[in-house]
Amino acid sequence: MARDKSKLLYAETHEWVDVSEEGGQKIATIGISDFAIEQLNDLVYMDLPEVGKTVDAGDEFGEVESVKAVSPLYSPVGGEVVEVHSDLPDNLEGLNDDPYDFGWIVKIKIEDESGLESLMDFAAYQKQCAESG
Amino acid sequence: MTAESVGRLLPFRRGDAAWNMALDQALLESVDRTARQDGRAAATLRFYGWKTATLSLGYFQSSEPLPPTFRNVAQVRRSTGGGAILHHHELTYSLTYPIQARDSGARMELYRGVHAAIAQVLAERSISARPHRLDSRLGGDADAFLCFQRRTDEDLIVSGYKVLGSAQRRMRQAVLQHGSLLLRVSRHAPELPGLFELTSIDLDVEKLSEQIARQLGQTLGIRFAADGETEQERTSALQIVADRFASDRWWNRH
Repeated sequence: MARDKSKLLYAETHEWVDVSEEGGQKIATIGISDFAIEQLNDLVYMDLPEVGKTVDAGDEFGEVESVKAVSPLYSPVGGEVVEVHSDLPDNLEGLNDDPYDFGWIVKIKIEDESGLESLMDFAAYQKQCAESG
Repeated sequence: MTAESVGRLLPFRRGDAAWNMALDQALLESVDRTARQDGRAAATLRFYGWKTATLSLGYFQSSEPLPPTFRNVAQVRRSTGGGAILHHHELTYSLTYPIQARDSGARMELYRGVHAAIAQVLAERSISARPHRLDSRLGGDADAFLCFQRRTDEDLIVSGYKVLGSAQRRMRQAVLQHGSLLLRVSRHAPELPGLFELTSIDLDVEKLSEQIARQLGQTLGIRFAADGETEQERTSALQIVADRFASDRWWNRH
């Protein structure tokens, strides 16, 4: 079923988060918003983390390049990377076409939920995007 | 930004490849840290040259296979994007600038602002340099190994040849932009003429960098005051040389 972007949580730095329960564990599926993809403009490279890497909320988990600018991707939650979308770096046009389903980047088993508290709902995120122009 | 903003200017100095890149990284981390702690930070403008001819690769660029012509020059991988650059007879600048965490992607206004300031300084020397976007029918090769054979909108072009290109690296609250202005052709990349070959005008790097600092200050509303890197930035840069820019692991990462 297609992911509904109005039901996701968002970081100030434009990552979206979909929290689900799998086998009694909370899993955060993370991607970047359509607004950010439009701003990134012509994404050409992406680096992903390795499965098993642990991150704190706010840590970098990957990097992208667009218009000769390298930008980090930040994890909104703390935990262990349990899955990466390894086909994505070679299919970045798919990220433009479908940022919320095909465009998922990593799944993180949440070990620290404190980062979730600072995330925005869709309405608040839309307001931020409107203010950013 | 207010007209009274004060920035820091690190005047022209030559350095080796790893030091040049490491100091830019240390400045980026310093401005980001200050912006996050204090909510504001001073922009830092630096000018530098290269002690020996150096090939720099873009952050994501593969180090294999390297064209044979570049195997005997110094080598370094940048932390910024884009293609390879043969740094030899050029003026290199870096501008480290505070940003908001919510600002996404490349900061196009910085590409435009810095390049417009440099174009203005060149115009005062009777050199007409225009952004590629104004003459974009004059292509370039998007997949070329050398960045100066590629074209992006804000690259400065003189007589059909790219003479200025820049790239960026972001942290949460700061962005580093550095770029190369080709002054003369290098024997290691004879296909890339510099401003001297294109215009017969010989530019002095120190005077040129002073003029660019003044013009860029007007463009950005910042008064750049000459200073040096802090002791903490210098210590940090030395560590970054060892950990990153002088290491084989960093060079071979892609």
